[in-house]
Amino acid sequence: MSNQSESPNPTSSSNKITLKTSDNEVFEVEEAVAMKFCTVKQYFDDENNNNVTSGTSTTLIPLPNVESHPLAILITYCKKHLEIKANNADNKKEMEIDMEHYEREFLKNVMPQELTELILAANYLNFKEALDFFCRAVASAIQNKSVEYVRKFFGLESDFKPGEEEKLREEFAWSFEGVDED
Amino acid sequence: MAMILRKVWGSVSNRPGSSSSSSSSSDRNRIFSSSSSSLSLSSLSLGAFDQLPADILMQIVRKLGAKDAMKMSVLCKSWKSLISDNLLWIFFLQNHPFESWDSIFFAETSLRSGYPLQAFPTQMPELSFMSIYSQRMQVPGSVVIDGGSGYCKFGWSKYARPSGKSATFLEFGNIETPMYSRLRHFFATIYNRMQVKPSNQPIVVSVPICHYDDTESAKASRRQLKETIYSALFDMNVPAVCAINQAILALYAARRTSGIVVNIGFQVTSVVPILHGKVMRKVGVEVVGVGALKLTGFLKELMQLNNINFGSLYTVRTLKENLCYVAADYEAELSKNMPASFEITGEGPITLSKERFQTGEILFQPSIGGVRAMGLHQAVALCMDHCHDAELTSDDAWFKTVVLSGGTACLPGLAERLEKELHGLLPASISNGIRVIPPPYGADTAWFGAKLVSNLSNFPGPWCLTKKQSRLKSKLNLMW
Repeated sequence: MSNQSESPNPTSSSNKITLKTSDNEVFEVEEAVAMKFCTVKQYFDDENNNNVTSGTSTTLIPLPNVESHPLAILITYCKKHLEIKANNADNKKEMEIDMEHYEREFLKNVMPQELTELILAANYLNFKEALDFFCRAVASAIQNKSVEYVRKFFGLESDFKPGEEEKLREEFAWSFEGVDED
Repeated sequence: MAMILRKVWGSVSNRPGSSSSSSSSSDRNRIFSSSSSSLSLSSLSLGAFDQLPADILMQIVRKLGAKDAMKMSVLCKSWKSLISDNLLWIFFLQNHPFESWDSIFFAETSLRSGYPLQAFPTQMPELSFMSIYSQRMQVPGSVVIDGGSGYCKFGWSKYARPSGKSATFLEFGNIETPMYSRLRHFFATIYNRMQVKPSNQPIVVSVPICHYDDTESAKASRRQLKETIYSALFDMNVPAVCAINQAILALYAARRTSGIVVNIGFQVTSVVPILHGKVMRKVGVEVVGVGALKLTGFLKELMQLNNINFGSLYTVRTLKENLCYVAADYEAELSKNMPASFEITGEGPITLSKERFQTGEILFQPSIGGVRAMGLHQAVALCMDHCHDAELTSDDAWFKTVVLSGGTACLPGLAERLEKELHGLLPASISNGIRVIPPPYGADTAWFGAKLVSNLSNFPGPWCLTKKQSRLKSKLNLMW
């Protein structure tokens, strides 16, 4: 988990941080939100180490690998994440339940196609909780499904020579037992 | 269309991480199967999925679990190479609910060749932990029986621990005497208790440490014991039998193939030198006439001196197991007063003081218990001396690890004390680097060693004798 609260930072908690995406959109976010993006946090830490006084003014952080669309979604997710955490500061279990509930709702509004760019954005920003959550989402979508189903899901085609796949299926027969119907 | 998609996706992903109610998962199935009629699956594709870097795909695969991950290797060639990553399978093996990765790794690198072991397991080709995982999944469950001289531990190879225990000495007499009918009765009783048919699965069984000598007659007795075990089991239609010396099993449980096993049995304590999984009888097995029974008996005497009387040795044994320890320095301990109590059901708390460490002291000073025998440390030192003189390997490293086994060997402080005494007795050239390890799995150590073998990826293969092979062997009159 992040230790953003303990880390010394030039900016006070009410400060805003400005993020600029690859498609030149600018997002102004709370410092607490930005600090969940370890890539951004790292940027500040480095600044600190270099003794650059940056806390006072509007620092603009360029994010050349993130587009505005996934960033907007990630910021929403992050805000909610922090809110749930703050509301349940002394009850980890409650927090997990609330989080689970929110994540379930969240996924209802996300297209599978969006998931890839969300994963890439979360990965670039090094936002661990989100990355973990999206990976879980993909995993649960293909859990216990047939090979054919998963291939379609990933948009893949088999490139095995005839007989090769059958051989593998035989070798790993135990893992093909009890698969859900497509 | 997009709306339906969202709904489907939402319900697909509706599977909460861990603490899911069963209703939500059936929900998911329902929506999913109804959707397949109206939606083509390709519209659910993740699209640009191949953009994801391998480490993220790995994260997803790790969350999938081993079974689904294995299946993913059939998707296409690039997935196959992604999935065959050894680190992934090491991760899955490390997260096995009740088998430690260290033990799995030890077994798969050192024990796969079967008996006799390969002296240099490092020369084996690089292991694919994916195949190992898969093979281990397909290994049939076995019955694992460690018939100790005092207690027999029995259970299933796929379970976390032995499922039961019975007092061998009471029910079956001395199982070390190879009497066919006695062994047959013994095995039949255990199978009965486990409620399994002998013919349904292989068995791994420990061979008691007995007939230690390197003489022809001892050799004949050992062979006879082993043959009797085999024929009793094959006559019960057990498909495959793996019988391994109890001391060797204890060593395996400690993840070693060479070392000295000190097994404190019911009647006697054996000091067994083992090199590459083979008992070095030529070097010599030392036997000391002090065992668990003697300690319990001695504690009973000591208690009687203090007017604490119990008819049942079981009660005394319980006190021994819960209150006794071995002093680091016996003389110094005598000047201390360290009373401790244990609640005996129906009797109230019993308090012991000096008896707590006097009991175990007879292992080192048998004379206080009225036994004429050498101390445990002397027996181990003697064994090490013989090992050193035998010059079986280029260095002495193989016998520097001492593994304790047997219930009584679980006495706190025993390993430390033995190590200390050995340093005092042996010249530095031999005692340097000595390590005494307490029983790695307590009283069930040998059972766990047997379990390790029974879960090997190529089990029963090289470890077992089948009924057919046994017939062939006896026909060819081969020595087994």
